[in-house]
Amino acid sequence: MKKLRGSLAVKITAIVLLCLLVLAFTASAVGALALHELGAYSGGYDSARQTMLTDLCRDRTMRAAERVLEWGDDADSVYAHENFRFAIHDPEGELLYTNYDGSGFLAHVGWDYARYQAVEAAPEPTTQPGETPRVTPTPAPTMQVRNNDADIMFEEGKGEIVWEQEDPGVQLKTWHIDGYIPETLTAQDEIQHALRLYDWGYSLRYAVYAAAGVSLLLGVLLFIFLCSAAGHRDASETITPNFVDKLPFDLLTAIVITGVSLALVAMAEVLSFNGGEIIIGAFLLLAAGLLFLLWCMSFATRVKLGGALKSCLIYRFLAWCWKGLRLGGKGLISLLRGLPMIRKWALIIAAVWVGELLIMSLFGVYPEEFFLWLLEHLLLTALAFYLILSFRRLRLGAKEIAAGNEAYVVDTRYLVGELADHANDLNHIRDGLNAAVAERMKSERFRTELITNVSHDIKTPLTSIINYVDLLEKEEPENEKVREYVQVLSRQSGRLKKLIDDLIEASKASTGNLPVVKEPCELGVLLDQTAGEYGERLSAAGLELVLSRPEEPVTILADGRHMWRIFDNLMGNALKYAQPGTRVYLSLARQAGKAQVTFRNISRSQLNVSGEELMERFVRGDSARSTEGSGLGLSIARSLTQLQGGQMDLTVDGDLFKVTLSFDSF
Amino acid sequence: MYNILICDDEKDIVSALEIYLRAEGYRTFAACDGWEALAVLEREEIHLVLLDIMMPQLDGISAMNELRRYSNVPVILLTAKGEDTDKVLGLNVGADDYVTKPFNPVELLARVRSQLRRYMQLGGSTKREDLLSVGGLSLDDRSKEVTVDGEAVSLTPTEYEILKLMLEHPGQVFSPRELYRRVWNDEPYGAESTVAVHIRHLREKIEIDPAQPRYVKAVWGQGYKLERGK
Repeated sequence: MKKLRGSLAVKITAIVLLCLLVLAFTASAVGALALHELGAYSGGYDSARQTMLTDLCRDRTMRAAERVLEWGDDADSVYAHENFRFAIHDPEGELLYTNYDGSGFLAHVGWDYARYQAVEAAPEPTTQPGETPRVTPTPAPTMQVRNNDADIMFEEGKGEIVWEQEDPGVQLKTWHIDGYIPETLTAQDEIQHALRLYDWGYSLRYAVYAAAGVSLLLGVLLFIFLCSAAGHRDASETITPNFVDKLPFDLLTAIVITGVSLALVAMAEVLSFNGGEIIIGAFLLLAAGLLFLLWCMSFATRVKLGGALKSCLIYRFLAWCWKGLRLGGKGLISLLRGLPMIRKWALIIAAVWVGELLIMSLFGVYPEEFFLWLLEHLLLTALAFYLILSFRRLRLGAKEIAAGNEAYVVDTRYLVGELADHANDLNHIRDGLNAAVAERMKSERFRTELITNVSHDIKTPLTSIINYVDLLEKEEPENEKVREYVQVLSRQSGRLKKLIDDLIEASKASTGNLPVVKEPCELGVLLDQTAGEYGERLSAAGLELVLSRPEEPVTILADGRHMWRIFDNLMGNALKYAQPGTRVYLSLARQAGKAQVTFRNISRSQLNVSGEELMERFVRGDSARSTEGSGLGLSIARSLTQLQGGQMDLTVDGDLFKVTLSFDSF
Repeated sequence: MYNILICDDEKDIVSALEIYLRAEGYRTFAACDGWEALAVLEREEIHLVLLDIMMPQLDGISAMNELRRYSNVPVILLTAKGEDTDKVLGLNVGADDYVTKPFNPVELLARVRSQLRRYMQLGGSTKREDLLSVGGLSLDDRSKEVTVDGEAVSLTPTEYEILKLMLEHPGQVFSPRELYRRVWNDEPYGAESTVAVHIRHLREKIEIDPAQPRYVKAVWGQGYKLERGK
């Protein structure tokens, strides 16, 4: 099925088949309809045949009356090759003309032909039988006759008369015509043809139903197939639109509707010529059908592709209009937004005034109405301006409070009702905010002060401890254990001292409670200084320091002492935690306007915490906390980096420990 | 025999300091607040004061303000406050040095010695042209001798050259590159960190606390300078 769907040959075959099916369906449906009209299904062969012959006879009778009486045709020559005979009697009952010999007939129709005639100018036709009657009707110029319903005329013997003007000199006269189809059909004419067609049709009278049904079913199936195949060029699911599918959908629809209607109208025209050009009619019908099929297939393709609506010209036009409107609206809004509030509202109010005045001048207004209107609008405008001014004051107050202006007080003079309430509320909000900010500041300060003070208080007893431990160390111990214990005391008190110093530093650095004097600081020099300070200690710890940096100097704006503290902490970290026998990399680079310093080393113990966690206070890489260090080094380094506008990132990749400092280069 | 006044409200610290100082052969006097210290100063001939800042009654800063009116005695501040502003304040109102608590006894003794030497021995020395000196640090270019508070220090030739260059231009910041060029007389192709190593060694020899140098200071990210004397 998928293969069939993509093949062009299959599609063409299907289209041709569909054409044939449409023709077959039309033919069989028309045939069935005609047979039904004649009563072939209910009355049987003879009755239907008789009905048909009577119909044919009536047609000819009416035409014959017209031809002979109105146009004055030569009846002998006209009816020489037709199986039709007739006799005409004039209004007085005298035989005017006949070519009927009184033999047996298949069908007979009598008909009254009525027309108006001036009394004085009554025609005097020759009445010799066998001669061509000469009827010279005098048209009545001021009168119209409409005998549009032949059946009524035939049955009731009079037509519907429309008088435009009473005229006593004009009378209604009636001619009588008898038409016959003779028993022996001599001429090869339409009647013969119709009888043969009837015989053939009658024999197929049930088959046409089947033919119509089958062709309809097959046609619908083929139609569905074609629609589903539309847009497929191969066995894949890809939909490829052709040039028709690329036309705007509404344009295509308009073209198709025009084409189909033209074809159908043309077909009706062609077929109305007395059954004549059936072939041309069929082609026109097919043309209309093919156009419709084209539309359906294109529609199917578009539905599969999606966006059938969007390809419409109307849609595009509407979208364009909408875009334009929105753009215009946005422009207007931004224009209004750009204006100061009072001017903006003044403009809007003025626009309303002008608009209403314009409408009033267009429709007219009574003077007293106008004065009322004027009074009302003056009052409303004044009110509006009062509201706008009040709102502006509130707005400014809110803005100031939002910007953190602690001293701003919203002026409540001239404000009434809810406006005054709102102003007061704003002032309360400001008070609350001020209180909250002050409280926060106080607690921040309090915290730092607390840490500092507590630390100072700890330092005094610690001084004694350190001093007396030192004195103890100098004494001759009574036994070796005492010396050992004193050494522990000495080491631990030293650690406590460091811890307290770090704690104060961390507290100050994290609250930004440190003065920062920014000066140009050349990182290359700092790297050298660091190498000078740490080189030998690192070598002693079995570590090799590897420096790398660019040729040109890299300078940043920073406080040198804080920078040193950062470097000191990070290098101290490497010294404490790096695996002996590995290298410590200290590199400087400039990247996208940033100066970057990277510290890298291999950790001695396994790091099972993330970089972020390591920078938290009191977190150390070794969970056992066996090594020296306060756990504040990285936290201090990060706080100091941030204090100077830099950024410190820490990554742990397996045992690789990497810290990157980045600052804006100067 | 020098007389040293120890003033601290913490009795234990005072006794510890007395032990250290007596072991070094000094006579000590104790006071536990500013008033007492001033009283002792009036009564006794004192050569050096160790003064705590935070004390009840009269604090260290106020006491120093008072004693500076009539005495030129060296004062070393003992302070638990490590803040720079406290140190600067102390030095500005007339302190000669400061030690932050908790202090290392050895370091404190070194500072005491240094102050006493300068106050008692070097106070009246005459200025010589070929003697470069800043504070208690002096360099005699004729004898190639370097002394810190009167005590001779032995330096390597490179360290000596670095110190001499810096003493000739006190207060000026030398970048490692410049120092290398002027001391080694060579272009420093990647040898700048050598300078830093020599500076560190120099500091270890002439400073009491190399981490808190009084003379040769690192200006981080710029270079090194010799602190101009007070």
